[in-house]
Amino acid sequence: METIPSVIKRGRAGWDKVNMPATEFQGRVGCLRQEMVAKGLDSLLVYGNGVNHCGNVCYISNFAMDTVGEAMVIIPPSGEPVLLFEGTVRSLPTVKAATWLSDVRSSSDIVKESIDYLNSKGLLTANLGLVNLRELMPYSHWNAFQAATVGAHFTDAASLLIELRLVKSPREAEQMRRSSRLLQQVYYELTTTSLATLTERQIEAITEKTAYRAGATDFRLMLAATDGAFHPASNLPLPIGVSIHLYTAVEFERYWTAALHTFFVQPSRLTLPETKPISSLFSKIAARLQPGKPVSRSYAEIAAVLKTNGGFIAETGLGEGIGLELEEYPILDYNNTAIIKEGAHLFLQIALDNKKLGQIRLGHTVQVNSSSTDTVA
Amino acid sequence: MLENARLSQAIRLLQSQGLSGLIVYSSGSASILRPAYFRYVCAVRPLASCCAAVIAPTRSVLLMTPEWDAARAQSQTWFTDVRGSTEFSKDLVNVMRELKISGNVGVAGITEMTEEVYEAISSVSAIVPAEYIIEDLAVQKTLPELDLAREAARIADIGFQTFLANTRTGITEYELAAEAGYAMRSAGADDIFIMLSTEKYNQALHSPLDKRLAVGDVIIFEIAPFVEGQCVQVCRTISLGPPSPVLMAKYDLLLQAFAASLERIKPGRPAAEMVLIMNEIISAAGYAEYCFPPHMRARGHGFGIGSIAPGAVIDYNTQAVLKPGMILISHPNQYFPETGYLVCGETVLVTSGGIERLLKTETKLYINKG
Repeated sequence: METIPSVIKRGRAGWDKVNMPATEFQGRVGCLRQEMVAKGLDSLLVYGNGVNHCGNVCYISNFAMDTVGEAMVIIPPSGEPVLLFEGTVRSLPTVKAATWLSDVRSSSDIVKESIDYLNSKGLLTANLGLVNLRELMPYSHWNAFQAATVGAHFTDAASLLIELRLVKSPREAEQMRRSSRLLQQVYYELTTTSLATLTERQIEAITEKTAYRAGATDFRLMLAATDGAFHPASNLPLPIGVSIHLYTAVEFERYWTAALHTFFVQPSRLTLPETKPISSLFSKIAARLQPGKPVSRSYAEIAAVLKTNGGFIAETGLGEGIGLELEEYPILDYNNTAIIKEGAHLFLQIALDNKKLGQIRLGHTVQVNSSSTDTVA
Repeated sequence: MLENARLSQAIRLLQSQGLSGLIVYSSGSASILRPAYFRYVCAVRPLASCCAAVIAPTRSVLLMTPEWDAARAQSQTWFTDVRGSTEFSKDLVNVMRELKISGNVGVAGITEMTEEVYEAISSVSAIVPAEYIIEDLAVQKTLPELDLAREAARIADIGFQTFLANTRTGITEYELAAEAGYAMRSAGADDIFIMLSTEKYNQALHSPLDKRLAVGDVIIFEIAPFVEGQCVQVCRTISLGPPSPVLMAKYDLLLQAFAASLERIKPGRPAAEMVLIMNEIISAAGYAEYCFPPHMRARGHGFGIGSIAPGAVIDYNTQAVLKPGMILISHPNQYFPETGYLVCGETVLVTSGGIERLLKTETKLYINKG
């Protein structure tokens, strides 16, 4: 689900190298190099910016922007990749501590820095595989890049990263389980804490404090009244006796998990309603996400199951991939022909009308396995 | 936000410049050092995606992504025509045609635009950078905006007091940031900026790490709570345990520079003057070569939602002239070879007579026993 990021990530910016060692990233670069050779690419340029669009850069380098700004990884034909980021020289030690790469360069002008690098390697007229430069770069920067590489041949190489990131490695899956444990703490705190003031802001304050104190890097929250639109927290009070949908997402060491639940607002606390009907329905539809099946087919099957059980796909959609970004491939949509793969991690959400309880939402982060779909968060 | 009178003023400006309309674009990104033109114009904080306010002389349309976010936007904005979009560039072109925008169109938010959006607008109209239209309207804060800034200052004081109260041996950087964040959220902040460093010898501010605080650490931090887009920042340094004589001496130097800079902040005077006096004082103490990057970043910057005048960096070259209603920070944040990086500064409002200090807490070297 789309959320509003904070002006800066202000949680723990740690990197446990035991859980996510340099060899994991080196393996990814090895896979990309094989594909580069197969496609005749001399170099691969991977671009990202801001806190929401740095997944590909992070996948290779482990570095992610914590606020606005640009970053790029360039994988040359041989030797170690280079990481370029928008920032000052004084930021270098912090950024170097966040990546396994030793060649890290700060710059106020990523395009100029990338051109200088390509020039130094004799790659200005090479066959360059581009990932997200055209799609994400500010127009003036993209123009400047094109002007400086007139002799180069561009190949859109985004699919290389998409394919690799569709399936989470065992280490990535473990990171997501660590992230999910933080999310569980958030929900535990939310349902066991007596709230002196029942406002949306206070819900936000308590949930994000729980997440950040437990080591989360970033946290997102969106709320909706059962008949209203999802929105970030406001200072408005929560009326006693109503239901609210609460979407929360936690990032732990680069990896996100998310969940969506409907709560009842009671004096001084939030409680979860009886969830068996929707939990049971959720299990049924999650089972339709089978490896080897096109997303569109799963979508159609899920829509049919929901319809016969009083459920529906809400305005925020059925879900999408989740991992280094809150919204990754594949998008769970009726016309997506991508094949679901074993090891994929997805945020899946459904809605159910219930005469007694009103509208209920349920969303979990799930892992697609060979014969089952496991709930991660 | 853009009130009716200001909207009329904007439309008059458009017409006088021969522009057929104004497009205010946002990619959803937010920065303390960039104005939020889209939010200023429509009073809606965008989700992380493409959004545009399209203003023509007789009609205006707000185009939101994702499609479902139109309902939220509708409940917050003065725009009566709010539309959710599934194919943003295509929908934007259709809105431009519907509003009879052709010829030259003013555009704010160009630096956030990707090729796809830029080319889509260009297919209908010639793009004329028009950030200046919003900057002119927003440069001097209105009374409601000043109220929001004062509220942000109240919250910044709470954040600082929480930082001070929790700076103790054993706490980690990320726990400290979580406590300060919680205090500011609970006080009503709708967004929060925190950077810190807690070494004995700091190089730069950064996001919170696992580092546990210990006696002898110098805790430097910048916090900035937001209230409806208005933001107030405070830069402070805390010594955990008795400070060394050299730390006290260097911090005194920063306090002198800070105090002198406040005296130079007057309407009608160039913003550069506050920098020149800071550099003069720090240089006279033997640190002339440290008055430039990379030993410091900026001596100050503006704040605001529609304008951050006098700019994202106030340095000795800044030509902007100060005006009443501007909000800016003076921070002689500085690296010294003897102590590492130290931070010191607070946000002030430029008034007709000089300044109003927005924060209640004092800027000085704070000392916690640990």
